[in-house]
Amino acid sequence: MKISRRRFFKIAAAAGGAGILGKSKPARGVEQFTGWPDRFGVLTDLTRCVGCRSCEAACNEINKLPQPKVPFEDRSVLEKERRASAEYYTYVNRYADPKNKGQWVYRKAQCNHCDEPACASACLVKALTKTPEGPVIWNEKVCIGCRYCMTACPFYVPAYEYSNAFSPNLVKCTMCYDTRTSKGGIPACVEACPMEAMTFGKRKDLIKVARKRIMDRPDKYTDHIYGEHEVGGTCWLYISGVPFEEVGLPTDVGTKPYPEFTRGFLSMVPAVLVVWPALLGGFYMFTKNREQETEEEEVIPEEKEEWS
Amino acid sequence: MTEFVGKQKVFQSWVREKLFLGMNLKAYLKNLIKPFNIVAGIIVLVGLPFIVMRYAQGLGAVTHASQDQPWSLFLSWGLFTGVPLAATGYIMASAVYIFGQKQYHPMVRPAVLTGFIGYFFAVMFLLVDLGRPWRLPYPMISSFGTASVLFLVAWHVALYLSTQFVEFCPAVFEWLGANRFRRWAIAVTVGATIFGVILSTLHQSALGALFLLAPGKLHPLWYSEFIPLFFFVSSIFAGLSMIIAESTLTSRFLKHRYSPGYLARLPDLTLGLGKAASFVLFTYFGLKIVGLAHGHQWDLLSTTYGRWFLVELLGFVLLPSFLFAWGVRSRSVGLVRFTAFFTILGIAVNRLNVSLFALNWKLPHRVFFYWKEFIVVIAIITIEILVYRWIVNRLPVYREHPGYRESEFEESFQTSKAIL
Amino acid sequence: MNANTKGYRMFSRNFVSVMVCSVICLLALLYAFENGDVFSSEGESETLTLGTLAKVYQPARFSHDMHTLLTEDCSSCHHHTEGEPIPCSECHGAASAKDMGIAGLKEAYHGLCMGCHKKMETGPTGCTDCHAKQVTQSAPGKSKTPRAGPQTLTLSQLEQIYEPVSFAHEMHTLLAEDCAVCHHHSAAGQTPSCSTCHGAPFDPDNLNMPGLKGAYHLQCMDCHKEMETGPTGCTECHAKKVEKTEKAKAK
Repeated sequence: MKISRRRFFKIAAAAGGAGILGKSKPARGVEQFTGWPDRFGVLTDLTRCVGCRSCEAACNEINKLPQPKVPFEDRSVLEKERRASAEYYTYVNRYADPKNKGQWVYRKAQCNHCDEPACASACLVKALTKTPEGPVIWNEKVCIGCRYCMTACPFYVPAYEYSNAFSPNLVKCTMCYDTRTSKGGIPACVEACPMEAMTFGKRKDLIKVARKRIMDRPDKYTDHIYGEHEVGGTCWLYISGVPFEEVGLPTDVGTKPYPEFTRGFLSMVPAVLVVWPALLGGFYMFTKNREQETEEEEVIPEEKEEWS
Repeated sequence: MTEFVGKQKVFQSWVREKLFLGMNLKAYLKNLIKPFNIVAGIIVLVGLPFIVMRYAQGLGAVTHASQDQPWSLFLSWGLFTGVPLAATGYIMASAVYIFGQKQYHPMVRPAVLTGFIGYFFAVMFLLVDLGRPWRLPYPMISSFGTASVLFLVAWHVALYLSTQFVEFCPAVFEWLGANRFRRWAIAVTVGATIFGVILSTLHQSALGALFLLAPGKLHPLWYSEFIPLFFFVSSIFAGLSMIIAESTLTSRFLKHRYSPGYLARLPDLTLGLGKAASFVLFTYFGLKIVGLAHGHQWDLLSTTYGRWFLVELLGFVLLPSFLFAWGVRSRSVGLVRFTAFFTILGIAVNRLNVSLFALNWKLPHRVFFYWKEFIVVIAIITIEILVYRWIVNRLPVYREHPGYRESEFEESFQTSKAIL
Repeated sequence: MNANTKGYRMFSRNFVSVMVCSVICLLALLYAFENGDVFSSEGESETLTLGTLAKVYQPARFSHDMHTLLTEDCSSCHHHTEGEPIPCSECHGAASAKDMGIAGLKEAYHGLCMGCHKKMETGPTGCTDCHAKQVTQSAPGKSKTPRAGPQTLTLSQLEQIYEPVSFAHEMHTLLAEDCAVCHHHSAAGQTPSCSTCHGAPFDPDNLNMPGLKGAYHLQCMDCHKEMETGPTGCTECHAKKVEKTEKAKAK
């Protein structure tokens, strides 16, 4: 059967078109984040935290999380350094105070609501998005449970309900988006804290507050706002009296927003989609021509005979 | 009435011929009782309850994937190792149809089949590992996270699976005797091959690019901007080694399915593949050295992970390169075959390193294996082998279909000549 | 020249004179307004009204006259100008100021005034030295003696969750020498109640000011921690209300 040249090209074009489909804007998730200058944030002053776990209790209540085995008043859980779990959105850890022997420093851990989240760029169904108000939220309706977001997050934040067979959820702090912050309220943990260790406000204002506190009391604070530039900036900021590595915050995450790490590779995709067909098609034609030539050489003498 | 009985008889004979290898049901079942089948059957029967458990009780019942390390053996083996080992299809097809290496033509169909089965079962592993496997089509139809490398992988694996199926279609249609479909399938072979190479380039490298998002988590010796290139190049020699390995096993255990011509040429073809593999392995070694230099990582080589990296690089990359070369020079097919298996092990080591061992290397407590996971993986691999064998026993993969004696390659060659 | 022309000429001449005079007067008025700063050149001490912080502080008293005696050169304070000194708010706090990197009015006042006071080691440098804190009617301005004040205070803002706190005020007055140790940031001698300044937290205009709950805990417990005495645990000051806990358990 012979196929016309036209038909062959149609097939090739259809194949190529199908390949390009859905990949015309490889870094769309990153391009959509324009900054939202009025986004909110939370400033956590670690010099004020006393490890009372009121924040954990408030979070548990407002998000209707399961009751823990150990009640929130029980501070013995602080003896072990906890990590993310599917049973809570936030947790407080206790660390030895390097400046005062025998004393403790406490740190509340939760999603840092990065400005350019690694998790949001990792998600292949866009289940994680950065909202204009600031929080990074998860959409249960589209998540397929691939857990790439968990691999991508530099802070080891997202937790997964491995024990749930039919609707396993991704568990992480939402900054009370649905219940509070989308409606102008403040997150439950911030409200509950008796020491007002956390301050809720516009991120740009919180940076100023943090700088003021550090400037007013240089003896009290480490001269660094954690989250101002880390991973391109986060909405949850920390100031501390001790170096940040002492309270379990990773200081080697860099200032490059994580979506930038894969941008280079993704921008290569259209290039391959254009160059490869040309290259391979070229190779194919080259080998065909070579074989055609040898065949023609065989044919011609026969024809000559016929004529004579 | 007689017409109905006639149709029934036709159907029965079709079933007998196509599915039961020409035997009636009783004889076929009796034929199945062989040592290999018994062992395979036991493995599958042991594995099935665990697979059911995974769906009934959630992932946590069969895996120790944690909040810190969400990807476990299912993905490390099934996806990250399985996919490069299934690269056989695009390599052989491009070698024969695009680069004109006609002598390898008999190897194309087995390679395409290996590739198709490999990708198909990679998707099976994915269905086991995904939290909500019924939502597998979502990245294709529902919600597009185009900033994600995984989105690319999902699309490409789906498209590539279809492409591999189309490339394998001639064999299927020959088996079913559907001539028109067969001719159509052959006509699109070249286009499908080119498309397959494009897709493979992108998704093989994309599997590596996934880890670009984990710079702090993946050990610096394995983390590199060149990861996508490493994964792509290693997929080439993975595919070559897999073809050698698969032909070794099938020419030994499924010899009766081979055409004598192919069987006779197999040693030469194996040596040829070994030559190519040696070359690619050496290139890969060079790339890895470039990667080390680029990242200024020489001092890391003296650490524990550094030593393991050297084992992987020297033992599983440089050594096979030399072994292949030596095997080809001394015309020792046995050595080439052994090295192929060894290289496959090396691929597994590399992929397991990147996705499991060297990932989260800084965390103090890690659990790598859970015996239930292991059983499920072995069971699925066994099913994969059984499916492959089932197809090879029935379809014209290692031999030409008697009805289509003229080599399909000649036909596609004629067709494409008409195009150009 | 006919009558019309003459009349016209007369009118125009007069008109012109009137116009010229009006313009001169207008210019003089404008000049007067321009340079007529809120500071008059007379001897009265003028008050400077701090707009945004009027909620928090009473107006500041600034004696311009006294300061003119301290220096011959007006540009010591009216800096970056030549000739006639211009009011601070001309440049500082103007709409275009931020773009040019010029400090806001509050920063300018404090920067210039206190900078000089510190350098000359004379003049007020404390907050309430210049402007007292706003004090509401309810503030006990009557209590002049440091040891006066209520004996105990009942703090019951979180009454849903906690029993009221019985705060032994008198005991604390014996511990602290100066009322301002607790009643901080107040004008001398004043002991306003905490809720005077500390209200709802997270006011976007005043983010650094803790709310009442935060203020209580920060003030009380920071001191207890520093002095290593006094209650620091939650229920040491206020017991948990039983119904709330039981309600939570019933959920």
